[in-house]
Amino acid sequence: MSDLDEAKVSLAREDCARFQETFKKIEDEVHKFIVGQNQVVAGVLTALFTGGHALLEGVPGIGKTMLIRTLGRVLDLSFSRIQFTPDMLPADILGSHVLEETAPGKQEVVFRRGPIVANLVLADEINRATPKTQAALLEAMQEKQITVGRETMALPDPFVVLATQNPVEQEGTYPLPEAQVDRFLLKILVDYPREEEYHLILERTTEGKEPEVGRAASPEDVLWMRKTALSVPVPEHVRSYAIRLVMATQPGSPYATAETNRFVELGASPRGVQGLVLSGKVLALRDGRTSVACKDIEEAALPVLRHRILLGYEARAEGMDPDRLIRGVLAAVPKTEA
Amino acid sequence: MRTSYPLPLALALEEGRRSLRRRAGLEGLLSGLFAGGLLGGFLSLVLLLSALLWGEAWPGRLPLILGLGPLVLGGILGAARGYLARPSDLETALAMDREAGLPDRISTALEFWLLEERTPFQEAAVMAGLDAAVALDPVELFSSPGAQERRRKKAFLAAGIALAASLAATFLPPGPSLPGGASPSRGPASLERASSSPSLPGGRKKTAAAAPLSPPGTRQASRKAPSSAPQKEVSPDEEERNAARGEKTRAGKAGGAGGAGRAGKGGRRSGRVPSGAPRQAEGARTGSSAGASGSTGSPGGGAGKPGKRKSPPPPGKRKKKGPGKPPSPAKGRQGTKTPLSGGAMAAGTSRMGGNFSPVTHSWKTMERGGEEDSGGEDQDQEVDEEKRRSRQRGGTQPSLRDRRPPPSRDLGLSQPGDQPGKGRGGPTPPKKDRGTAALILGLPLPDTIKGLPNPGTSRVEQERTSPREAPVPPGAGPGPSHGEGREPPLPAGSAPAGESGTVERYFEKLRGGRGPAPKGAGR
Repeated sequence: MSDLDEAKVSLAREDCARFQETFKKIEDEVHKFIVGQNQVVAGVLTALFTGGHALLEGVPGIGKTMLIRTLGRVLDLSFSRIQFTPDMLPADILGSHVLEETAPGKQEVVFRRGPIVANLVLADEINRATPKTQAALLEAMQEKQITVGRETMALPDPFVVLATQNPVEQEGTYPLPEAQVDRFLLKILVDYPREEEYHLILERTTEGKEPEVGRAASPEDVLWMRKTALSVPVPEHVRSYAIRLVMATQPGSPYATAETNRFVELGASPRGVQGLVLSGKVLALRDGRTSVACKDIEEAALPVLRHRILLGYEARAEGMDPDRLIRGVLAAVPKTEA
Repeated sequence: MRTSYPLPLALALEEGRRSLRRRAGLEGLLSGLFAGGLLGGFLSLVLLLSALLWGEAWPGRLPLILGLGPLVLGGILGAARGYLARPSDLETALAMDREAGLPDRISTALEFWLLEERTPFQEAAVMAGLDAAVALDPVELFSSPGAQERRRKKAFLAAGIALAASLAATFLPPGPSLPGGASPSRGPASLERASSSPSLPGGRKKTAAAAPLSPPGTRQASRKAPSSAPQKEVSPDEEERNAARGEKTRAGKAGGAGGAGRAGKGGRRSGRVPSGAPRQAEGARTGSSAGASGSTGSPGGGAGKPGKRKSPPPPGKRKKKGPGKPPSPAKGRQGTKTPLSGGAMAAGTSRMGGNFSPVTHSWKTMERGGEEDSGGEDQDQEVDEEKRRSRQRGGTQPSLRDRRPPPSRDLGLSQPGDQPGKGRGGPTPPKKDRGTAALILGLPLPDTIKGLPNPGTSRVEQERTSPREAPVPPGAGPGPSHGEGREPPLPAGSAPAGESGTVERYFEKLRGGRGPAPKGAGR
């Protein structure tokens, strides 16, 4: 015990406690407005603190847009909402050059920024835009910058895209290409509220008692939390476990299960491992731990991997979905190497 | 890099490893008992069944050894394997974390402790792991009985089965001697008793399972014993043939022992009925009675002869079918299950077409009876083969091979008074109501023929011949050669001896003195 540096230990514990406290504060503030949906809120915050983007999927009317709008207010982040439609063009998102009268009689071509230049971007019903417009988000999401003409502009930090899509009404939609889906760190499924939550929703929305949502953290806090999360160590055996999990989703790999080999056409990419470990770090800090455990990787596996696995035709015929497959992989992959 | 752990961690690891090995040993013991118990139980059950069904008497304590040996051996091996495996530090730490519900605290501390330089978070992780290790009691951790409860139950169940089965196989006497006292290897006397008493107390049919144990001489003697009907002389060839047929199944042997001639066949057929020993005994009885009546030329013996089937059997001979056995309803039902007892139909019902009762007569029995009379074992095999193929195709398939050619479609004027069937299409073939081929595999559709109550069987007769060389008369020359169709040139020296001069002259005349005749021509 004498070899341990008490100062370092207390510093780490302080950071951990601060992270946990802020996380909880943000959650509580969001829950003032959003009833239930604990997993969804935690998932969105996880994406925010890992610097990733999240894709929310759920039927209309269950508060996806409201959640993201509330989050913007709670974190005091600049927020913009883009409603994607089939006739939308990339310039509608990124911005374009316009002829502007800068002084009387003097006109100049200036760049008018699009709605993507914000901390928190809500891409509502992202699958309704054409692939060309969807692709306009690619550079922004990965490089945190946009290029229009010859001009490249850095996006503000933090920059988070929270996209929603509707699993029904698939007519007239353009499913996101794999390259773009892979750029979302998490895919979070938003489900219907429970019965008791309906009472609270009615109470808050139909009786004129709209709650006041205050600021729980600043953009600087968000950046600090990101940095803290990155410094959480990952033990070797946990890292190996995350790698085995991702490899187990790839058909033909040594860890692939029988279901993987049968149903999966395309397994999770290395971004999947990155997502698992990053999410695990945030989850460990949220639980007040200073290192990542296998339990965190397990908890992050579903939202991180479900949109990175492309199932084949046989899986559809057999009623297999990515979540079931991932649960099978979680059950099959051992936590220690054989 | 460090190589040793801090004291609390090292102590916890050592204690944890010991407890883990102890638990692994116990689990290995239970697993070994389970596997060994299953194996021993299976072996004992096999011995027990063979003793009960076939009267095999096993020497000494062989069943006990075979039953309990794997149990003991499995337990020892499993325990040794579990206890001797030495888990690594990380495995021990992970097991402790898992058992204590700690999120990888000890294993993480173990890993980070070995690093030279540690970040604050790593220091904090090590500290958290040490705190957890101090608070843990590994002995108590790995001794929770809940996880082993199911395994223990399974092991005890398997061991109990093995023990019970091996004890039963050891101490129970062989089967036929159990209720009736007829020991399997007691020779013809026991067989006489077996054939005379139809069933045993306790509902068990007596099997004539002792037949294989009795020597051939006693079998000969026993053939004569139960027959109150007149017996025909059995030639040595026929006896040999019957013996060969009868040896197919034990029931067949019993039939062969009970009756002469066709008895072996009857026993063999009834031996196919998959309901076990009682049915075999029934087959034996049927075989013997059929053999007996067959010797007198009664329809009971020649049950399958189509020609004979048309003529009603003489009433006096029908009575000979079951000497001394009043027909009971149960017997009647059983009689329909055995092919030869289709002949039993003659005893109670008319054979004319109007009385096709499903109880006493079935198409199947008629078919099989016919086969039997033709006497060909090859045909039996063919029918069996056809049935097997039908099963593989998903059910009984209609027979397509005996299709008749379609009626002639030649147009013709019909005469007034012609039957409708003789119109433009010509005479129609007799209508048969055939089943449809099963479209869904595994869903058998019966192949029925109108007017008959039960599904018929498809019987395919094929003549298996190989190409043979056509007989050539001794004077015939080679056939015409392929190709241009001209006669081949005469081979040199093929002219008959007396005509060589004529041939030579012919060539000289043909060439007109242009040259000498070809060499060898006319030779």
